[in-house]
Amino acid sequence: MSTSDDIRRVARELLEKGEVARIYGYAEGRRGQVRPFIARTPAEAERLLFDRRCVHNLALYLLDLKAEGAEAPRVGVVMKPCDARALNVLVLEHQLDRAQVHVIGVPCNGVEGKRACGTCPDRTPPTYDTLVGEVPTEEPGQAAEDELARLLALPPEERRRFWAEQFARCIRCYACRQVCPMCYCEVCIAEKLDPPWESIAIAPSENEFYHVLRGYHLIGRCIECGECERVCPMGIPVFLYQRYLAEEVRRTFDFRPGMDAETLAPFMTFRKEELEG
Amino acid sequence: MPQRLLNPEELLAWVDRLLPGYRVVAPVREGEGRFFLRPIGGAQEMDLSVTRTVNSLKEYFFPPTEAIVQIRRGKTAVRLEVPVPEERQLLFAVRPCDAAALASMDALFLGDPADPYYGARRRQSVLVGLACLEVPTPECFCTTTGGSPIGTANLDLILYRVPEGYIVEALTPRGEELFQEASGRPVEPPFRPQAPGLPAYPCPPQEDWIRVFTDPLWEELGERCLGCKICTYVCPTCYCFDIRDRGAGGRVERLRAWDACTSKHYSVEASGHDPRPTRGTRLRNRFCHKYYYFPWRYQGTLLCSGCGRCVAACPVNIDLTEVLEEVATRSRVDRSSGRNQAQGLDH
Repeated sequence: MSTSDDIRRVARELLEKGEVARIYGYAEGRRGQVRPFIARTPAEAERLLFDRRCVHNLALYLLDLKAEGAEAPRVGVVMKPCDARALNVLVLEHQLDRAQVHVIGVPCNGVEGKRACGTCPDRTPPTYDTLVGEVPTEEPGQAAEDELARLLALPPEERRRFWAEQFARCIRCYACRQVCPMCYCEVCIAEKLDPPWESIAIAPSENEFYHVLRGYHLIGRCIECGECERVCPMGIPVFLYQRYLAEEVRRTFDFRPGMDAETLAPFMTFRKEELEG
Repeated sequence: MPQRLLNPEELLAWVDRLLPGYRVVAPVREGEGRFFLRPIGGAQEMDLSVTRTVNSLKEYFFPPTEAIVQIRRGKTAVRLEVPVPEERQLLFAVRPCDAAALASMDALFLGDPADPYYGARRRQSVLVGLACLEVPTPECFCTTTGGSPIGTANLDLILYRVPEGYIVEALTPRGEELFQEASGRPVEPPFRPQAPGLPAYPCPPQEDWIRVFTDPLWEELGERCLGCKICTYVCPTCYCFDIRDRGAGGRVERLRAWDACTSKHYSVEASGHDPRPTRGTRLRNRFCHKYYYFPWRYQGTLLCSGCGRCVAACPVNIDLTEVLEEVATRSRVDRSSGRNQAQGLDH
């Protein structure tokens, strides 16, 4: 049986038994693409599938449960390793109750078109309730280009110029923020106008402010799914920037966010002894 | 009107001759193989193998950010300046769908009250089109919106790519002036372009949009919509903006910047009430604005030229052509059953 068949079977059973009210997964879209899809009935579950086109991080849509408050039902969700790490971070940050979610975990060695997959060491989701499919044995298809190393080898002025050029091309569509499961602020500081942290201008200085700020707000929280870079219409290498910060966290704190939902993250934790040097 | 055939070198030389008199905007390649419309410093920067640019020509008439008033407070007086743009610009190798999109922007910005910033740029611009003798991308649907891949609306000149180079044809007196600067040789008999075939999607009339106003379609789409601004910003006709002052003390500028109705809080009112609290209601508003409210207000002009950018750029496969099909299909169902009549609209 294929992974898609397994997912359909599990989804049907969960819905038939009433264990979940709906299942967040992927379905065939239009023009050869796959799209996020919510199955609410066993019949709709037949549309679920999984293949290398399933690039979206479905942890994002679990944030919609918050708006439903106490009436939020239990839901199922199909998750790759990176998606499940995002879920762990959201649980750690008290945005979700782990018991609310039935994770249909899918092992993964990369999806189409995402540079982030080239450097991902995870193959099995760190959390799941049902595991379908097999752990892939072959190495990820895309080469792990070490663009970050190349960038870091440049002198600071050239790096500064590189990022200034990139951020100047930004149109502040905020797709990178909207697709990120960790960006769940009710009003983003880049758009908070009273008081104005930055002006509404779509211009190099304001763009840089937004990107640097978002990077810093994600320190110790970014699970490197690479969705931010995938969705950028201008082709700005947003992931490269996030990856740099994530590697700093690894180097400094030996910490990878989302491997579980209990370990406190470095930038969310205050220890009195740290004050004393 | 007369035509001339320029070989590729002659075309580049022509553009280089025009550069001193204009800010020239043309397709270039950037990043990982994407095309953008950018100002160029030399003709060799252009890439005319362009399929479709990620950005549209909108930003050269209605920029992402501009100061609409400069306010200076001196010791005894307050001075207001309205910085109307003065630069002449030449938009080179724009697609007919982009040029056609100007019809919507003209209806809005050149009406009453007229927008001086858009008006100035519009008057000071020359447009050279690049006809689509082949369909550039799978997402194109200009014919659905009443356009044509070889349409000449709002163009001063048009280019047809042929094996030997480019045939240039002047379409307006302003185009004629530039035509005189081109070399090459006359084309006799005149080249008659053939429009390639395009998929035909329904263009639902106003009544259909009214019938599906309360259909579950919108919440289905909203479920996966990210609430970003990609579709709005790449669109050649979307024009939502915000206005805010920047600065302090004696120097303040009033900025107008792009905004998008798809984003959360866009419609929040002063009371705190949000009439479009879900991604689905915001999407419904965006599509209805384009195919129902705008043509209703502006004598049938659609707020869409079928360029396909939104379809290609949406990260979650929300496809306007699919929405058009769904509206047409679901409104037929509703018509027969009498359900889902919109309430509270005084048509």
